[in-house]
Amino acid sequence: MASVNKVAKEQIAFLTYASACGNLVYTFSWVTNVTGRPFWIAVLLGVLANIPFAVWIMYLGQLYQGDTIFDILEKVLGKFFSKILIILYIILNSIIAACLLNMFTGSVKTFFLFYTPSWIIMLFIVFICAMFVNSEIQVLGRFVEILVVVYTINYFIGFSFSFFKDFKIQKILPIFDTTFIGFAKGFLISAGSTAECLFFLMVLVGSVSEPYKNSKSVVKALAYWSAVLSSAILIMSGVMSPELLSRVAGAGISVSKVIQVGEFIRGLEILILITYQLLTIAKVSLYIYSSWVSARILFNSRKSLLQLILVSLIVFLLSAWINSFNTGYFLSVFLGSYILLPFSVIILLLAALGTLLQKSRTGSGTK
Amino acid sequence: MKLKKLNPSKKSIGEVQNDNEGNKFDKLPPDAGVSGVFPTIDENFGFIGIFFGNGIGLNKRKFTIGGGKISAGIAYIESITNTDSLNKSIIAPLIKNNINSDMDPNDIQVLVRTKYILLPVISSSNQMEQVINGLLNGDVIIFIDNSNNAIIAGNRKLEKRAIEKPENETAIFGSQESFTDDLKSNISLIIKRLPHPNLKFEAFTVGKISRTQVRLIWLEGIANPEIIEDVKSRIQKIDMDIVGGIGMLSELIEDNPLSVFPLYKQTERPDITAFNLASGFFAIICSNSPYALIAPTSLWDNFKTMDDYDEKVISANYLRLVRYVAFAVSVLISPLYISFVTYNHSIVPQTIAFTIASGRQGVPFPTVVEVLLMSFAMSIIREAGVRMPGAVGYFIGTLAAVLIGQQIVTAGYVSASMVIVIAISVISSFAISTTTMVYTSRLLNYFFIILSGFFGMFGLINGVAIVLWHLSSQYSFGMPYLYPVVPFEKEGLGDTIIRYQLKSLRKRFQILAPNNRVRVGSQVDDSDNKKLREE
Repeated sequence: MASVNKVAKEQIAFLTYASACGNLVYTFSWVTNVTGRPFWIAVLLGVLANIPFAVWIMYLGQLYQGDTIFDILEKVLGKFFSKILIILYIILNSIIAACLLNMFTGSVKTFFLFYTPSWIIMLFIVFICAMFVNSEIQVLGRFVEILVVVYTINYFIGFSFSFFKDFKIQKILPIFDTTFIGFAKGFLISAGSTAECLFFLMVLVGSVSEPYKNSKSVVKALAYWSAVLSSAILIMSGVMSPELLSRVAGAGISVSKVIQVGEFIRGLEILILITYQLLTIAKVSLYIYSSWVSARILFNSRKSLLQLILVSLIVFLLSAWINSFNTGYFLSVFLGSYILLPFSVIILLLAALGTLLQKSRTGSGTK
Repeated sequence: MKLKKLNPSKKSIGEVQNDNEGNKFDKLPPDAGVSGVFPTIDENFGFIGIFFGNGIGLNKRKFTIGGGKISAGIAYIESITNTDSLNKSIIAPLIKNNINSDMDPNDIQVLVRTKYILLPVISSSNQMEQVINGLLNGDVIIFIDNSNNAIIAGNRKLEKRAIEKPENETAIFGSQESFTDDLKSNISLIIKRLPHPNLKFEAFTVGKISRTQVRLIWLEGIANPEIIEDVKSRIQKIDMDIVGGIGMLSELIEDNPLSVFPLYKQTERPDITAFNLASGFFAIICSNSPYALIAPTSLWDNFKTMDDYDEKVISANYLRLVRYVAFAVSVLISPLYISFVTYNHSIVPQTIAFTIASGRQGVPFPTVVEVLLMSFAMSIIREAGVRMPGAVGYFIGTLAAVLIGQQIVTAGYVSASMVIVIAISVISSFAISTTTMVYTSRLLNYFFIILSGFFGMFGLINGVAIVLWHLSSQYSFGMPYLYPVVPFEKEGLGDTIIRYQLKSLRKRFQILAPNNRVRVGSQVDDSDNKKLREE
């Protein structure tokens, strides 16, 4: 699918950052559970492990400029196989969106809106995200750029108060108190969960001019995100200790509830809610965008707005059907552990092999 | 101009006939719109007399020149013509000078036009349509008997205000001059500040009936030519009967009239206009409007004042930050109050929570209704104060202070803390430097109040996200509204949220001045710009 609208280098970076910032912000406590004290290093390395795959996507995009990975699959594998893969992609994308939405809704209901039905919170989020997606990719890119800056700064401002009283370095020492297996499991879950960003990059690459030349932006974004996430969860474990952290779901908000400085600095969970909510809005928008773009390939861009509404409805209905923080959490861990990264790698392998086959047949790798 | 449709009444014809002996017209000829100038003065006087009727103040006078051998006549509309210069520069020279009466009448007309009329703008026409337009512009029309050409001498008298102090954009250290309703005065105020050969003015006439004079102003070689062409085409596309002033014109050419944010800037200050022109913006001024439109504009431009550049840099930055905070406070304080009081109590320290709770005892309304009612009451009081004459406005303010500040709280309809919150919100909105943004802040305030009333902080954050998305999606004449923060341009940050020292503001914005970005340095030449473009 040739795309007229191209995103700028800066937007590529921020979109990649936001796409990596997904379910792992909730499920890192599972990584803590399986890894122990060096969980933040496992997360750091797990996020970084996605860089080669992200560069691979950009390289494939360079060969077929203006095409998404699914456009490439359609060209090299034919319509039938590409359609099956697109349907699988939309299903997986919708499920991980529903997981994130359930975990966020669970946190909101637990701490802020006790009596509001979950489905109303979910519907509100899905509705505004669909509205955001229904604009040019540049607009979405600019919007996500603002959200990323705001939620990242806000998060660290919130947790900076912990250094007055609650943060204790003893709680994170000794760092490497774990087994190799535990560390490897944590690494794999982190890498698998971060593969959400590969899902998004597969469609974003169609809106990037000279994708391979812009790989640097993608690499930078993932490197920043790995540093930000690992330092954020390191601070949390310094406040709460990794042992306690491993038993808490929705850790960010729970930890911030503990922090209090004097009489006036308190209730910081509201500050941290801002981060989690903006993060959810950005991420759900990107999930919907990814599904929408791939659905347009499936249906040849016919009735585009209707497709957007349908894709958003699927996310909402799935979320409302799951309707549980715990189900969302475990589903997210399962998908992160076993599905997302392998699925991405299979798609990339198929695209790459198809490209090679086509190249060998025609003597050229490009269109 | 189509004159054919006009059909003066019989009554006016009769009245004109009384003023003009020998008028042969009792109605306008069917081809009035394309009529040429008649050879005799009486015919011409008759025609324009019927055309204008008796109410407009049309004066016609016949006299002789060339030693009493040549008949001439002048016509003008008294209220818009400068009668002093009419006598000195037209009638006196014509009567005193001896013109050879043996010449051809058309040669006499040329001689009069080129030699005897002492006014700078003179033309001639053989078309009655141009004669009519000239009269409406305040010109004096001179007819020579037996000549088919009329002389049109520019002699307009304008009633205009003197140049006064800016009323809505006061500055402590900045210039104390503001635009007036007169287009020429406004042009002179800009030229005075930018006496540069590249300062360009392009004239347009908009409004089929109002025929409003518009000037598009920019600095050639600095302003982005693509943006200038875009603006020209937008102005040319205007198809309205009346364009009253710069406000109406703005709505007709802006990118999204439905946006709550101002996508252009209106200023009454010529110094701000000149400063922006030098930065690559364009300006539009029009007749009968004491404001200039400046664009493309970003959100950040709404928080700048001219004092920012006249004050010391530290103080200027402090004041600019105060304006940003004031905007945030005016928009967010009341919805935050609702969220904290209704849904999210944990952030409020206990002592303050008790004070708020005790103040709310006996208040019959839910917090959200209380806030909405109070905010709306404040808007009514403000609007009443603005629309009423000065003394009545003060009275309304005092009455409101007594009524709301004391009696409503004492009667128990509203809590005291609510009054404080709303007062802070309203007062903060007045600290914003752009008038349009004041209304924007009030409207956003209502939007956030409703969302936080339904969902507390969750609703408020969603509301903020919606506004951020809206801001991301807006353009001002092709420039993203959040530029240069998003999309990010490093050099642009020098004068956005804070201002660096003037000598550090080395480059103009990429979008505004792509071909001439260097603004600081004595050796500004093409190689510097080329280097910057490459960067």
